[in-house]
Amino acid sequence: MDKLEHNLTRYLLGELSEQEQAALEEKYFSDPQVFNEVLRIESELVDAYARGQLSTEMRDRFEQSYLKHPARRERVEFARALTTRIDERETSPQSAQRVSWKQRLLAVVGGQRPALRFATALVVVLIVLAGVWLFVNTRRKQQREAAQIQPAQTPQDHEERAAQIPPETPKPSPNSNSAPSIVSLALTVGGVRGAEGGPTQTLVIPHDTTQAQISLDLKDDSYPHYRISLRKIGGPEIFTQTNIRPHSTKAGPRFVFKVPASRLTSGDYALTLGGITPEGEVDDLNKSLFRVEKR
Amino acid sequence: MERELTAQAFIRLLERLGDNEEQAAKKYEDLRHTLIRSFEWRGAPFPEEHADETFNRLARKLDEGVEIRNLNDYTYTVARLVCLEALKGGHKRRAPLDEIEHEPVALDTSRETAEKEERLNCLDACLDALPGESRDLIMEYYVDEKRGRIDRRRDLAERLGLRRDALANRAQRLRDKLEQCVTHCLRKKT
Repeated sequence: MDKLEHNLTRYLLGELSEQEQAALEEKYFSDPQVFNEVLRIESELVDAYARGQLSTEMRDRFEQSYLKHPARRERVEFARALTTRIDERETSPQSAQRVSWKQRLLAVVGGQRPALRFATALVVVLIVLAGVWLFVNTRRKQQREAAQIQPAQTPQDHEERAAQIPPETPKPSPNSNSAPSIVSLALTVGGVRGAEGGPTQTLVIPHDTTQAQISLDLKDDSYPHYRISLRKIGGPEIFTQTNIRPHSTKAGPRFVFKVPASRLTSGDYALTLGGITPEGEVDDLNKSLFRVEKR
Repeated sequence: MERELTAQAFIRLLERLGDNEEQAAKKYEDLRHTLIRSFEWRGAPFPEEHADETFNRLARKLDEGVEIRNLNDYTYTVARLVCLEALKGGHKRRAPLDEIEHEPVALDTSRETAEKEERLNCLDACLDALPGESRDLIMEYYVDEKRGRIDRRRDLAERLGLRRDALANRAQRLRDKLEQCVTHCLRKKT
């Protein structure tokens, strides 16, 4: 148990001095992460009590202080019910069967007999090799066919090409004479630029540009939906989109959206991404800062 | 002491909490949650009422034109005062439930068993109402494995593509939601 954890446990057991309590409370009122940490320690403490895992000394302290309050006693009763269900599930025969697919495969193909295991492993290897050969051949054939029917530029191609702009090369690429002219900016979730002190990316918008295309790469796609909003710092919100999903690209999940150039003026902008949980709550995931320069 | 809170004062408080309605409502809920837990941890008798009283005082201060630079710090200062008053006996006019329950009573094991059963039924219903992904998350996150817990949670975070602290926060939020659901369910039954 580290020092913070030890301190939080003492707080929950009412063992801190008034001054120490006040200092900790001040901290968690201003920092949600500290507050979450207190909640986490409380849940672990209550679960350990409900499972009968506290030492005698700790259990006595817990019963003499924590259990004095009715709401906290309710919390313990809830923990008893929850841990009962979780522990039942863990010890059920179905749960015992929750092993990795590799273990299951080995169990199915070979059992305990080495000769049979070897033979079946050989068959599995041959099947895998055949599968790889088939996949590679099919892929090559598809590529040849695609090369033969290469169409003129389609909107999809444009998006795909935009999707391949590496985040390190965010410079605008206004299309030569053709209309509509578009400039692009590629951002990455969790990148260091802008928000955390690296150089801020700049989107240069020449006067004849009609649209700006902004893409945002995700490192992983772990939420059912997302919310994204673009706001000029110290200025108005440009747009907010809720319940959206990223496109799948070769580089990974990516949001791509176009903004009429007329809606962007020179200045600093913040693109904020939130992940919407299945319960409808929004987790703040990322804020990317960039600059717009209109010329 | 407890003057009635005007609608105008409350609106002023919400305006101070966020730029728009959605933001203000979220901040209000978060702050209320922090207040209630804080009062609970301090052992104050009626945490929800104390949280509301804190907001009332805060709103009145804003309405009176008091300049509040850091709302969180100020809220804590007010909450601490409310808590000290409550603990000193400002709320003693009503006996909190724990005092009543602490009266020695004959053990009624059949009643105890029935209550446990009821709680488990409510928990099952609340778990069923959760989306499958959330149900699996909470059941896996709080599994009883002293040594393997860290590895298990790391694997779970990797599988869900979350940072470990984000996973911990999500599990805690689900747990709170589940606990509230069970409390409502039990209240409905009694």
